[in-house]
Amino acid sequence: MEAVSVRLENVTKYFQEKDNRVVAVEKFSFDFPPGKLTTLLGPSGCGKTTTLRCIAGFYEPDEGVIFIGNQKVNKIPPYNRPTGTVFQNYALFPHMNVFENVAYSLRVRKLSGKEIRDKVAWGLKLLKLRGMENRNPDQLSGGQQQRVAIARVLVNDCKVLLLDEPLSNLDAKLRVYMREEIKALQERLGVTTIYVTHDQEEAMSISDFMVVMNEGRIEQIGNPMEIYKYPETDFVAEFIGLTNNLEGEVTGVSEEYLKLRTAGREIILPNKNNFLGLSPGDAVNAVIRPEMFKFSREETPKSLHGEVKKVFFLGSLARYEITLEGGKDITLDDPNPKSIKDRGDTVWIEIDPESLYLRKTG
Amino acid sequence: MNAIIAGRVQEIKKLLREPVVFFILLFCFILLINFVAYPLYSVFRESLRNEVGEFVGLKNYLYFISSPYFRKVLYDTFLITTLATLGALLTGTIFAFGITRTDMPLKSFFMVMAILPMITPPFVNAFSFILLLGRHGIINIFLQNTLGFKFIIYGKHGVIISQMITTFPLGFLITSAAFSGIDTSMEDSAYDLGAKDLRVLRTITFPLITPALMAAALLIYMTNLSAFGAPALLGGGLSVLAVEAVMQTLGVMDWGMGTTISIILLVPSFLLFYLQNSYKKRRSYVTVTGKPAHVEIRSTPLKIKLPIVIFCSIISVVIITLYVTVFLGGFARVWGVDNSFTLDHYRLIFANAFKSIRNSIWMASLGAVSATLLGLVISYFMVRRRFPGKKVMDFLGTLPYAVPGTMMGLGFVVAFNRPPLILTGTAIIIILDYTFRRMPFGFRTGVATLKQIDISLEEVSADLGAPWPYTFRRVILPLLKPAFIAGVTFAFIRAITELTSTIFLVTPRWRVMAVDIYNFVEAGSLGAAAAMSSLLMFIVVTLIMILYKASGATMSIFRL
Repeated sequence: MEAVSVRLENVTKYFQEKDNRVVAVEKFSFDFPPGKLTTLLGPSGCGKTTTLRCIAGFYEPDEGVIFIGNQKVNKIPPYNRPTGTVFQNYALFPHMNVFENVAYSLRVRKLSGKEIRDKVAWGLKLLKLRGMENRNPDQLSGGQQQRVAIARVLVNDCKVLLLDEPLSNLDAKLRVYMREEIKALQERLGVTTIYVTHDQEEAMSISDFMVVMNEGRIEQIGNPMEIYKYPETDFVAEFIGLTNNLEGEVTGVSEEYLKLRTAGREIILPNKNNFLGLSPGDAVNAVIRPEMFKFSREETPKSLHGEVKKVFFLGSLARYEITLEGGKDITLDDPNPKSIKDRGDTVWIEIDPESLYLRKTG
Repeated sequence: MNAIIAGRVQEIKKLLREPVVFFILLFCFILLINFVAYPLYSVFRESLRNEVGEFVGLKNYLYFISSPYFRKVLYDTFLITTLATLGALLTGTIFAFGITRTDMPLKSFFMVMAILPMITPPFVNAFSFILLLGRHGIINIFLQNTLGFKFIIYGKHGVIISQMITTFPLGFLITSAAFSGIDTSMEDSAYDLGAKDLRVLRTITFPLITPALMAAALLIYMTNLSAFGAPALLGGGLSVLAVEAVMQTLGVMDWGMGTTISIILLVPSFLLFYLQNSYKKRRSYVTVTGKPAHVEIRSTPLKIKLPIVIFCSIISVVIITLYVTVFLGGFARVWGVDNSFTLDHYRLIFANAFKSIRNSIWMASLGAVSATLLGLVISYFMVRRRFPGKKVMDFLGTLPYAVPGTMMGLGFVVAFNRPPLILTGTAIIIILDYTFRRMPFGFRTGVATLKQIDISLEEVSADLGAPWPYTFRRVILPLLKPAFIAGVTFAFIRAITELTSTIFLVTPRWRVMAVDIYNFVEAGSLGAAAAMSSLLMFIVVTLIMILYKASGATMSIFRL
């Protein structure tokens, strides 16, 4: 099967609420790469599901165009699009058993009995559902229901798989298992997949590409590593996990080191080619994940000074809230806590320079 | 403003893309306007004319207000309705409380008793009261012979008692749903905080079901207000608005006055309907979480349980007596005078009124099916589609629910006894009356069912390649099947026992059972009336049993 791309150009969708026109998605442009899994990630109400429904054909965009492969699909109804949607609640037909649910699209296409049986058998085998043919949806567990929903769209030879928060109705353990299954299946079939979720961890773990959205707009596009390490906006930094923002000023930069004034101190960090384009006098925002800090025994040229405010022991790690000199509060994760510090202890903290990302603010 | 117009234009454009849907919608509109709006308008038009058909403006209304006779009718109507409603509400609530919140014995028996009056014609229990407590009622004969006095049922008290028995099931159904929605942990907390039994009832349980009580009160009030059978049979010298509307038209042929009275009756019905709807929207405490309430019944103190059991038993005995009496009445030569066994009444019915039985069955069936189908189709549009005139359709679809039966019957007569569409004297007009009077039930059931069916089922079908007609046939219709069966059952029961509007539409050629029974009673042929009533109840019960067995449909069909 030839994988197709999905291209959106300036797609905008409004909703009429009473007398107000609310923008749900604004000028969304992205070329979803063929055969890859791309997540649309963002908080609820950010427009990710609306975007998905525009691609599926349940909504018609008010502006912009949508291409699936080389075909413009704006005016094409859902039943003539090569997309297959797995809904959040799976939307299994309650009056049909597993076999009939999976066979639905094949019956619509009026395939022969043998073809239907073969295709359904293929789908059920693929999703590890053999032997469940005669069960009704209400006799299935959540995970099984989801497999049926996926099998149902896959037997329809869909070229684009659309998943709308597919794991949100499953319990935590099953979620982790199913997302691995989905990823494996997607890689095996090489089908272009668009996956909507609000869970950043889920998105990081399965995506080839991520599109982070907020208030109808795209905030950032990239692979999981880029998004995590180099968030381009405050929103992305905040949304992708716990983060610390330190305001500072570059006071000197060379090929070997960078001098940064922040939190009441001036620190010297080795330059590992991640401080390009900065010059003295630049105001910067340092995006620092909690695990990028570490304690040091004593004062060093690259250490900050602070006082422990709160301590949470979380088993595999200890999390500290620390007030730095100058009053800025930060969160620090110690992944290998040999001893626990106490509230009120004064501490020296170093930043891992390799994963530090400085974003110019002024 | 422009955005709204643009939105409308887009809605129409979208509709026109699906011509099948567009034409079905258009057809529904035409039906509703022709058979709901137009008859009601015709009643209003007629109320502005005198008995020979000349336009007289508001003269009929002014006469109504100034006439001492009509003022008394108005007063009696509200007095009877109010007292019957209070009685029905109290009885229904006690039954509901006993069944849902205590550990009293015989629960399923009491439950059947609390539903039975709903599935029998409302006037049959009035008629049974005549057999028991009329001038020649067997209880009265017994009292006369032993104690030397009679308790004559005719009069206000008789109407009130009869109406109370007829309408308390409505109260039971609504309040028992509310009671079962209250989590017992709330009562437990109150006990835990030191409150005693009666205090818990007063401060927790009853405040929580107040919204349901209000909703039930309004619905019962509406039903009692427009009742015709019981006041007509048991009223004795007094009259109420619904009876008066029939008397003025069918009795003295003053259509102007009759229609005026039914318009006057419509005003409070409408108001109550409006109140009931707004109450329903706010009815609340009970289902905050959306999860089923945790109900755990522990042993109830005897001082609460015993009075409830005694009360429910008395009412149940009355109900059973009423039905047994009707059944026996069909086999007594001359009720109360010569009680020897005879099959003459049944022979007479099958010889002279067999046509009515046949008519009732097929016309009610056809009416019930078309009422439910129409209601379901309209409900689909209301829940799933956007189109101009949606509010109008919603209004016309529920309107017959609020309109008293007398008005609907009158409306059909005055609207369709003249061109462009003459239907009076046909079977069609009776079926249409059944259809449009019972459509709101199919409509409401459909709305409730569709709201629970996630729209994603239809979307997934489209996504899998099915165009709308295919989706409708394979997905929507099968899922509406339970609603359809429930709707048809309920509509059939209501249609075959329908008297108030049908009484205007029957002709010697197209008679129906319910009207025949009424005429038998009026003519004093109590034996024939009893035989016919027994037969009618037999048909209804048989139908319910068949459907119950065939579909596994439950008592939920009586949910309102």
